[in-house]
Amino acid sequence: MNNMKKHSVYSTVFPYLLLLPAGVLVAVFKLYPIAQTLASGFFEKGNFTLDIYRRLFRDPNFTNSLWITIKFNLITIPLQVVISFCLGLLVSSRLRGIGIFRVLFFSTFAISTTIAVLIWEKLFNFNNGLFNSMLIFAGLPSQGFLLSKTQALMCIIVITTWKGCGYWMIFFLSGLKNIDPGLYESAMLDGAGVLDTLFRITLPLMRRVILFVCVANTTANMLLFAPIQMSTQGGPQGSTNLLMYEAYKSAFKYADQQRASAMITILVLIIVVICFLQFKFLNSSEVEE
Amino acid sequence: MKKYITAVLAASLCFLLTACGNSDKTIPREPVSTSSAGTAARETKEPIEITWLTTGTEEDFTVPGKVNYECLKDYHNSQDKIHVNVEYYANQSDLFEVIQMKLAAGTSEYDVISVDSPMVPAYAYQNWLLPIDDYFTERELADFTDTALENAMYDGKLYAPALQNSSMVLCYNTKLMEEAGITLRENDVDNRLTWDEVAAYAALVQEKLDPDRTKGITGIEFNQIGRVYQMNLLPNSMGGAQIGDDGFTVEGILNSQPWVDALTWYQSQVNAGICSRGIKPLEAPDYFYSGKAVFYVATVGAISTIEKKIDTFDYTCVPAFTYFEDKVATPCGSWNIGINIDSQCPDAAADFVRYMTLGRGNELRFEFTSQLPARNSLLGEMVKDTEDTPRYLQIAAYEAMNTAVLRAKTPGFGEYSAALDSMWEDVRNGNDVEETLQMTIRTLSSAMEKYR
Repeated sequence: MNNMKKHSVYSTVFPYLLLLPAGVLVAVFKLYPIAQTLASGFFEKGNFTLDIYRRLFRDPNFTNSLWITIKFNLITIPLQVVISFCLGLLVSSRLRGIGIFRVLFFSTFAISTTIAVLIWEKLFNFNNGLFNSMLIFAGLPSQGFLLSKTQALMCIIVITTWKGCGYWMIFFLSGLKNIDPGLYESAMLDGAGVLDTLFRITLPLMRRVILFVCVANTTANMLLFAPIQMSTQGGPQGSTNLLMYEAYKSAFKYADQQRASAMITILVLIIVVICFLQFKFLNSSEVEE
Repeated sequence: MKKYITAVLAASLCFLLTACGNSDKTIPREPVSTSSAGTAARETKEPIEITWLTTGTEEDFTVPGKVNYECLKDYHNSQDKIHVNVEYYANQSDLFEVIQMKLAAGTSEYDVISVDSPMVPAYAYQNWLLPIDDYFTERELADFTDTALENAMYDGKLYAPALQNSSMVLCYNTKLMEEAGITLRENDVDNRLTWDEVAAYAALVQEKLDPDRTKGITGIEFNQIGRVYQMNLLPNSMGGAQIGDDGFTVEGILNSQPWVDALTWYQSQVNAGICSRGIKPLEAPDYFYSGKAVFYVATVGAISTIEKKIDTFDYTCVPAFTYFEDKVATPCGSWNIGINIDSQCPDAAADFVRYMTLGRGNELRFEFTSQLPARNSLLGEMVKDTEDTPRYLQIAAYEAMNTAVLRAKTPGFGEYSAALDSMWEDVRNGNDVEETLQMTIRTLSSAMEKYR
């Protein structure tokens, strides 16, 4: 009996002991910085205060960044999800050489963000970029692109969509490959058309993959930083000043760690809310499947 | 068991949270040790190691003939009690970030810090720099130019004396002028060209050599295009101030008539194709080097580089605005050097700072570079020395002593320069001047709130 008890304790404790090193690392390098970031937005000169948040919400830079971030994501997330899904549908075809297209579409993800932004900056260059050269050749006026406050955000959306869609396409492709082809055959026999098949079979069965892509895509786009840092630095006129970039400026240019922490906290809350809503609307019940 | 583990995890989380918010950079810190004797460090028996955090490349510190190498070599040869180790960053932005992060954390890793001159108030306000009035006499401080001394001080205390200074000259491409058959009229510091004249000359050259603008010849380029350091000379040259006397107010300053007029003038030149649109500060010099820019407003420090890249150029003094000839303004300030408030060896650090700002180190700086001194004694020699001192340095020395305008003296210079850099870009990109100024004022007024 004693041996059984000892064995029971050992078998319960031992797995946790094996997990302890990883747990300590996660606690030190993940949980502690997260907790400190969350807390530092509430402490000023050693005292607990909400003044940092009060100043933040009165700050036109912050409110502008918040609005730009929401606007950016309202356009980018659905756009990327739809395009990636369509690409997934296309490359899931059983055609000779389809693998080449899968590689081509995925290759944009393999390029580093830095190189991708540099390439697109050259294309969008006002003075001698490819796009303006083509417009001038066609007799059309040149465009500001990254220099225009009305076009700069769309240019950033184009860059991030071009970069990211190939990656999300892979998830959709994987999900599509898991759908039983017999379902499509049955649907065809029953006289279902392409749209019927798409909306009544494919989309419902892809709901979990769509949910995953939406959640992951939301997180990635809400935290977007590199293209802004490299190309527009938040301009022109704050039109691309996403919240992440504003937080970076606070922390590393203005040495205002508290303000940066407060912004990051708000950003995380927004991500949590959006993901919660996505789960609510997209998480299908077992019965529907 | 599950309850036990849950309790342990909860306790750990509580422990982590209570550890937060303990260190606050805004709590005033006392210096680690104080001493009124600037050379006390040399009287110790053991050699003292100090660390200098600065900007530069490996070549700057290892190759003979490079100023920092020569300064350190001379310093170590002149005494054996203090040894200087160097941590350097080639990219100034990296240096600024290291300073922000490490000094904010209260590190004593560094003793001497190279400080970008407009950041002295900010670092002093943050309590990162040691006040060093005790290490300098009044007579020594009087040798610095008024602007250099004012820049080195904050709230009446000396924090970071100037290593060197800067100024501007107007360069022009003589080959393009010659091909266009244009000669600049006679001009000097008492009879300067005006900005309208310069724009007119530039437009003429463009009309004659590049009428359809296919060759990409621009009229006027700025060395630091879109940056506060250089661009603010335009409104300053119309009598516009940089910032309010309190160091925070921008309402009534940035939207004053000189600012509106200067930005409107600049935008009109961009719209006319005389000033370029869309190029970045790093690209601007290449336009002049490649013979694509007629005029180039350059820092003095850039002239030696220009001389290596192009030989068909000449220079003159910075222009004035018509009717504002008595208000010509030139930028100033470069690098200063201060002591980390948490330094373990402030006396040794102060000895090195004195060497680099007033001692042999400062003289060596101008033997090995074409930088501008911040000291009246050295500047005065440059102005008088017509034989050995290059003409551009003579012009720059005159400007430093007579027309230099300090950059905005404010603890929020980071926010100020970020907002104004964006403002200059927005104006260059064609946005409405008054709307852009109002947006900048709103942004800055909000950003400065935390300092009030």
